[in-house]
Amino acid sequence: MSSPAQVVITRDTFLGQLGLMDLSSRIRDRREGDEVYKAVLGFLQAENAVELREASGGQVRELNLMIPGTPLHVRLTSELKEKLNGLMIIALILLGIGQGAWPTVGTAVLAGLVAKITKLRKEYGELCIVESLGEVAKRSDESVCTNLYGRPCRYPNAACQFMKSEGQTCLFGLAEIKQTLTALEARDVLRRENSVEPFIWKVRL
Amino acid sequence: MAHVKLSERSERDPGGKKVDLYPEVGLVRTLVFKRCPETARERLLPAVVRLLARIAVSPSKRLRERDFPIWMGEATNSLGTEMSTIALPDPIAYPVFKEFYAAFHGWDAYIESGAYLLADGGGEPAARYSQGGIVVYGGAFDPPDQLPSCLRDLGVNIELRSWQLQSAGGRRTRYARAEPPRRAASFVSTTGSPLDKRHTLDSWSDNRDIILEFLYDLKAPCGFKQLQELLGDSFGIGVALEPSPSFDRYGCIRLGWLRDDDKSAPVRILINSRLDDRLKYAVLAHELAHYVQHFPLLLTGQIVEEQSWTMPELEAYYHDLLRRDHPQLLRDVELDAFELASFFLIPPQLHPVGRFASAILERGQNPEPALLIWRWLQTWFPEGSAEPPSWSRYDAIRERADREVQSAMRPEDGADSLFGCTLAAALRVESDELSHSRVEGEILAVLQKILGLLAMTAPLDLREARENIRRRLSRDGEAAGPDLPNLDELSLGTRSFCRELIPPLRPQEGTVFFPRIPLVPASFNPTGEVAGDWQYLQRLDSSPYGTVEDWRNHRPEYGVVLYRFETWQQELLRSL
Repeated sequence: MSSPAQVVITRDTFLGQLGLMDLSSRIRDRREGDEVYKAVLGFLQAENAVELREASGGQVRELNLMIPGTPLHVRLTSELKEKLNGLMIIALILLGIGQGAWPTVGTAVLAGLVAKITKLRKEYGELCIVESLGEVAKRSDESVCTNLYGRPCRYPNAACQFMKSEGQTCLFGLAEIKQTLTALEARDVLRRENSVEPFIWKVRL
Repeated sequence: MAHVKLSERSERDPGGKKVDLYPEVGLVRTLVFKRCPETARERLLPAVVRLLARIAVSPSKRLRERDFPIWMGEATNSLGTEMSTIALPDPIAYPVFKEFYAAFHGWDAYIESGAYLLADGGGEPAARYSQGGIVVYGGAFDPPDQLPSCLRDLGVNIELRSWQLQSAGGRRTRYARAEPPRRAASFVSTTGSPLDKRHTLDSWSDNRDIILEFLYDLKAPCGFKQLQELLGDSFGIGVALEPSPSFDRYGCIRLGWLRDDDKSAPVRILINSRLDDRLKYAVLAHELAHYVQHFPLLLTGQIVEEQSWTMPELEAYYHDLLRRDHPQLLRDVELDAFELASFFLIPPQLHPVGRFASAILERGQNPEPALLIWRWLQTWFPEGSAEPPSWSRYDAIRERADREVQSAMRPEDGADSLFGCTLAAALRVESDELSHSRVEGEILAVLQKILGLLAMTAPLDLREARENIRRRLSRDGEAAGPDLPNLDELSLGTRSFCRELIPPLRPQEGTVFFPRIPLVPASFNPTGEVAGDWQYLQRLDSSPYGTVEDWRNHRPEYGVVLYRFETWQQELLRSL
């Protein structure tokens, strides 16, 4: 069995190193970036994935551009990668247009949300729906459908029931999306913000 | 031909219509109207469609045989004016724009036309003219035959489609082509091999001028790959990506082993391979700035490293010299490098930025130089969330720029990220004008002290030479004993990237310093396993092989210093 990849992260590089680059276009300024960094660090520490190591010393024969502060070494197991994907979905939703600025979310709450997200099933389109809520401006059934239908499948290896096999295109229709949203509401993952159609959906924090 | 390339999605939308894929667009040729009932979408869109129908039957082929999109939108500008907009690609064929201008400039609500950002006009695709065919965009769930009511009675053949914004996919390059250096750089090579390019103080002195000329000619940032190639081909500086997790830094510059006769050494820059390409460029520029400004310091370090194999006290002396006599040197060296590297991101020809700013008007005022510096720099740091230019977000962008500039000017805040350090350096450059390296004299003084010490100890036998240096480690005339109290302060690290110092099995009594046998892995032990075979660095051709334990047993009173291969060297060995 191969050992997990190990990456060194800094404030400058954590998004790229942890596969969270999609967040970069949503972070409005460096202050918000700092908040996201703190949240990600808190999450990694709660997962026991971070190791603080003294920076390796330099040699007299070299000049180093060192990473400011203590280097944070992260063990990237496949399980952690899954969780980080969940974290990214949560962060996209929290940074999303409709949800306002990055809120103060405790590490425990964040971990709970990530656990909720990682339980969503790709093969039934549940994960794609929740991801879409972080990507669309208006979090309605129709926006989610437009965001998915006819586009390349996000998880082509998940044997999703809505994937058109040739071309790996998503055919998740409006009716099926409405049913899935209702099912996710029943499972406490989502809630409706309003009572009359078109419904606006929000992730239950 | 308009420069907006549209394609069609393979899958239709949920309503069964074709879907046009739109790229992200910046500047567009915009007709601006005051928002009023006359310019509501239900009035503007039919007018646009009627115009397109006229174009479709125009006798002029130059006008008729076109394919271009039309965006429409509504926006409120920063002065509070509510506007409606019609936008065409920019550039657009003149006959097409002339038709649009002729059709709309006479409207009472018409304000002006110009090249504006699509986002500032709130534009979204509304229609498309394609070689005589007219497409109008509707909602994704509308059936293909359900035209908007305002278009039903026009008597024009219209196809209803929907549109989708296509993500950029591969990042568009924003790098400029760098002009090759004006003169050939000089370096020493005995074999003619591309790997055998060594530098001396003399060749560095020539090269720094050539590199500065090259920098002066740089019109815009040239990107990591181009700079990497240029450094290798034109300046004899190898640049390698280092993927090892133990390489816990952005990058470093180091010298290779010195040749005895001319004290020449290869120069190598290592860049952390996991960085984004934009960061790699900024880090490479920083390391190159070290070469330009601080080569003598690197050379001094290399001399100290090699002399310490037999005179280990020299390493402590060197650290002590820096710590006591030049306590700010290493800090200043970094500041220096950040300042010079900032010219690779904001080329010299844009300096002084203040003069450049005085030629620009934004809202009737010249922008502050710091604002322009922030604006230019932020696009090169991927995780700082670059703000796309926008008039409608002008105030928010300014506020953010002010905050980050203020933060960078406070040293305690600015030093926590590469962006902060680079921004602070560029601001210093702007405020000080271009100055010479602040540490050049100090570095030469350090080099002279080390060379002077070596010259003075050269006639002595090794034991006397070591004793002599040890005595110098004590400043106040106190006897330098074997138990120097400040070893930690002297930073005698035993483990660093690709270097490991292992103490002797039987250290000589009475001293904490130990001579060491320099070892490199045998070619068949490229990863440098301790249990694998190693060779004596100074006599690679004739050295026997042995494990680290073998070598320690061979000279129990000597330590060993292991120099592992960098990843590119390991790969080279594997490929042979």
